[in-house]
Amino acid sequence: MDVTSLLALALAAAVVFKGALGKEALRALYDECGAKVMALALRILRDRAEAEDVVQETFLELWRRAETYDAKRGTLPAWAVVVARSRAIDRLRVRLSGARMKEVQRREALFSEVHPPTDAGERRAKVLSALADLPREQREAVELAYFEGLTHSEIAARTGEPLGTTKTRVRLAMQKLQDRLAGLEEAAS
Amino acid sequence: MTCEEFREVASVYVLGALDPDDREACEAHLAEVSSHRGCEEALRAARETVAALAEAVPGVRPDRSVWRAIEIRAGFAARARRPWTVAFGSAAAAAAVLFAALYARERSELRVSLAQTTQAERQAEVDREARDALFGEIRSLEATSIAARQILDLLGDPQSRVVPLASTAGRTHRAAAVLNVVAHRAVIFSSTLAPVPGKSYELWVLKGKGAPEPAGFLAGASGGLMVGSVDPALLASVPDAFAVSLEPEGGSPSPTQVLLVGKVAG
Repeated sequence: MDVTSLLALALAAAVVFKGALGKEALRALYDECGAKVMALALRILRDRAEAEDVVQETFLELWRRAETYDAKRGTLPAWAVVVARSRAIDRLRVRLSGARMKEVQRREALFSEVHPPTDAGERRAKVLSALADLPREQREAVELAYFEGLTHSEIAARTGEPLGTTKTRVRLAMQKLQDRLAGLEEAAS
Repeated sequence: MTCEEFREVASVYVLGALDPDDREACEAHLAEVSSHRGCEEALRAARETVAALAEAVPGVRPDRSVWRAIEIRAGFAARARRPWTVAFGSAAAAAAVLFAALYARERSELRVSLAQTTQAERQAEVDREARDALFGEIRSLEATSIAARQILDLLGDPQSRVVPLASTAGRTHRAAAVLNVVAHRAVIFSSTLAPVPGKSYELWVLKGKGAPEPAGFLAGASGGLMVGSVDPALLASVPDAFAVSLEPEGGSPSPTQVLLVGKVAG
């Protein structure tokens, strides 16, 4: 690995300069998006202790895999959220394996209240507004994928809708969300 | 699967909603050696969208013990100065809480002191010294945190690039510059340079055959980190190189003892 690649190892040269800066850089990232990661893990797992474990695993994974970070592939906060969601869904799958499809899930609005609360931050308001503008069926399909990690087939089985219809709903929803939320993460980082 | 087909489902792929066969088809496509047409961009946009959706959930601050556990597991804990430094959410919050606590304590000690005991006066002096030391550490932590944020901010921008600065002959110093020519920003940092009494580490920008232009100074933060921002006025055009030199305190009009040089790749 050349020096430039080495220095680009994310987290502000955490590997080469492993010391105060590495720690402070990870801490800065934790301060930046620890609450978001925790909230997401908690929403997926609905268990505070497990969610906190996911937060730990997420930031340790970022630290240990710092050398694989490539800014061209996304921002650091986005990386943190994607890793956290993946870890939380892995745990959820283990917890529910075999019994999940039989289990009666709480069908509360998974994306929280879809109408932006008056005190929501601007970023959150934008996301909630984008979600609120989706047709209910599309929003629910994305919710099931996002918070429960369900695939097309599993969503179709859960909702009783044809597989083709489910695929279309998820794809259209994600296209609309991508159009509405473009640049939101980058602006934040 | 074609690039066009992949781009169509990229966001669903990142969402994790594809069934195994479709997912494997996407992964096989991404692993193909042939050059892609927009697949990486589609993946990046999809990741940003999936990450942005997390905003829909109100933030929940993890318990303080979570960061402590991360520190221990990452091997930071041995370097932790004092337990209180990791007990607070941020250096600023720590400063506020500590100030309130010390202020209350100091008032209390003052009453004791006024009530007569010289012992209490001595203790108050010790506490004041301890307080000053703590505030010094907090200020230092804040400085490091700000520096780290500056560097993180720049690194998070795809337009930024990292320029390694190599040590001149016979030395073992290391440093790096994070340069963003679009934003006219650059930060240079090193963890191998130590403050030298009566001396300054001066930054230089080199362009063409012109004389090196003084661009600022490295300042010390906690943990042995030295960091400094390059004068933005010198970044209106892409520099050819950065350098760091050791100069008399306050700097020199031209570098006298160059320690590090880093060439900016074309």
